[in-house]
Amino acid sequence: MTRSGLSAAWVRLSDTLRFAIWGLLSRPVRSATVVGSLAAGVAAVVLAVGIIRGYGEAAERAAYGVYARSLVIRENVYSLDRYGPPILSDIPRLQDAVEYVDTILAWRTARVSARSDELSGEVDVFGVYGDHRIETGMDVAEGRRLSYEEAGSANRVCLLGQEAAERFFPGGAVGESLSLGGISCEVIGVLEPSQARTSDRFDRAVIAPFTAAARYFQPTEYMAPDEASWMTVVIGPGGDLYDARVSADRALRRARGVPMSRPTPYSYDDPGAPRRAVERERALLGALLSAIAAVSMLAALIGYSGVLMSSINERSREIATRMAIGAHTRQVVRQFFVESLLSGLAGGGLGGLVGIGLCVTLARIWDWEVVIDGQIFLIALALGLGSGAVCGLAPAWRVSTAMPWHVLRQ
Amino acid sequence: MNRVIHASNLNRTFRHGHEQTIALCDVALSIPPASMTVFVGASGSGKSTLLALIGLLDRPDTTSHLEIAGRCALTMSSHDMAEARSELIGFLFQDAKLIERMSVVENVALPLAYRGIDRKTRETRALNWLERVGLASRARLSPCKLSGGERQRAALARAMIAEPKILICDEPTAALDEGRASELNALLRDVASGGTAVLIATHDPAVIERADRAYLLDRGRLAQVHGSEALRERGLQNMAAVWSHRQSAGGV
Repeated sequence: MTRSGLSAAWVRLSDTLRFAIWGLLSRPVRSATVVGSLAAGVAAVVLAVGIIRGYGEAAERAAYGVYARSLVIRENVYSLDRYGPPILSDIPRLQDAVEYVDTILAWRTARVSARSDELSGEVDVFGVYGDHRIETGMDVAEGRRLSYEEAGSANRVCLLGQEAAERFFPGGAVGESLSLGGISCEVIGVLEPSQARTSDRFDRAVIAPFTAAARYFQPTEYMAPDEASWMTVVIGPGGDLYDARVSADRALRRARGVPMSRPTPYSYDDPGAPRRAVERERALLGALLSAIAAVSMLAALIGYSGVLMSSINERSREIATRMAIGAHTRQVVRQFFVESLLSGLAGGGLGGLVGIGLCVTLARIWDWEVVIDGQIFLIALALGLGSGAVCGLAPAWRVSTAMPWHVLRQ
Repeated sequence: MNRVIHASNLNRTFRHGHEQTIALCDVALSIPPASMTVFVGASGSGKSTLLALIGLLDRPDTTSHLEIAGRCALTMSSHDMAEARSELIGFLFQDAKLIERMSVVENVALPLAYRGIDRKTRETRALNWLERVGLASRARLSPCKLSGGERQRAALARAMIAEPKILICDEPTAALDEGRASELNALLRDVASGGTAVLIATHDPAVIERADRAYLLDRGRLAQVHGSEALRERGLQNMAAVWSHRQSAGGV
């Protein structure tokens, strides 16, 4: 394009934009109605998207806690070749072999008789190697946590789940002594109530250091001191559970000398199952909310196009005057098209902001995390622009293709 | 003959369902440049329709022949009509039709914007024209702040800014008092002297007085006025008086 061509194009573009902005600003109430009607629909869509995303995150956490992104490794009890449970020395192997590992916890369980001054009964003891909060999702409600050193020691200290604490020590458990399998353990803390379905079991249980549990509390079937009932490999962001499963199996087979032709020595809880279940729930809610959002958007679009059409009709004499004084159809259509694009953009932007604001507010009320990123705002802007393009073109074209005289003499 | 407008067998019929109204019937006329032509006639006689056809704001019936600056109006596409309006024709309406939310200077400059002329140049030219019509000091005001006469002068500046060959005026003085109408008439006369063919539909005797020629429209039929009788016969007494005065003064 020549310099004069570029200059002419620039004049055309700047004039079109200027006239379009002028058209919007010169009728502030009308423009606010146009923008507002579209913003309402876009906000409904953004809110629906936000809720679906927030629900997905919250439901995943509530239903599966950390297991939604973890690989749980146990002994494969169905294999004829028994290699025993995973052992503590597998932890560094797994850390090396599996990508995106966040942390690895080892657990050992036993059911033992417990006795306090008040009551006696049976409880599950969970010996943990690592930070139990990652897997339980429960911090201490009172007292203190197991320290890093204690978690790897045989110290006779323990944490009680909320129900277990109320059961054995109705007057307060911290600092009391609980006899577990005849071994006296100091209660150093009481856990918060569980938040996830998978953590319910810890409400009624005792958590102790792994080594203490291995030394003092034997399960029904004998286990060596370094053997774990299960290991939980927590995968960080960016990691893939299926890849992790393949890598872990390969590393453990190599360590045990089990060829790929033999059954795997360990079982891996199907990592896809929790996610698939959540996805199903999310899809159902998504369909419901999408339907509601679609109806809201449709209603908003009808309102928006109606106001836009009446706004353009109201200006039909102005359009005819412009054409009488030299405007071409394409110039008028371009101006009104850009005007509706701008109003669509403003409606999309405003709707996006309102929708995000509503998401944040509702997330606070419902205690959900909100996933807000640029994508959700881009969706809002695209919706607004699309609506402006679809709803603005037809009335602008209709008015500007009429013979100016017919409009002027009305 | 040097002519900027030539029409023959010009017809315009409006259809409303099965009913049809003949607005113009077999009109023939030729208009030279640098002239002032008035069209008189009762309301509904077809004056405005004729000006709309000449101004390419409407299309004649297909049997018509209409040439504007040598271009056949009947074969023009909508784009060609817009192009021709932009290049050749200026409009001055009875109610000025200024765009209220733009300033006076922006209104005047608007036709140049549609011709792709940059903002600075068109503003300079608009200010020149406003100066010419005596509105330089009112350039930045909104049109609603102007009096009726000022609005018409601003509209005249807008019509003339693109230097059209034809200026079409539809009852430009109808809403003005005598003094303002006289000012506007003088400006129109100047425009005609400058080379533009000025066509005016009017009921105003003062406009007729300054015209080079007058046409009478009666129920869609056009006749050139050569004597005051034709006007008097149709109840246009004031115009007839003006015409008689002009004939006696040798003006027509």
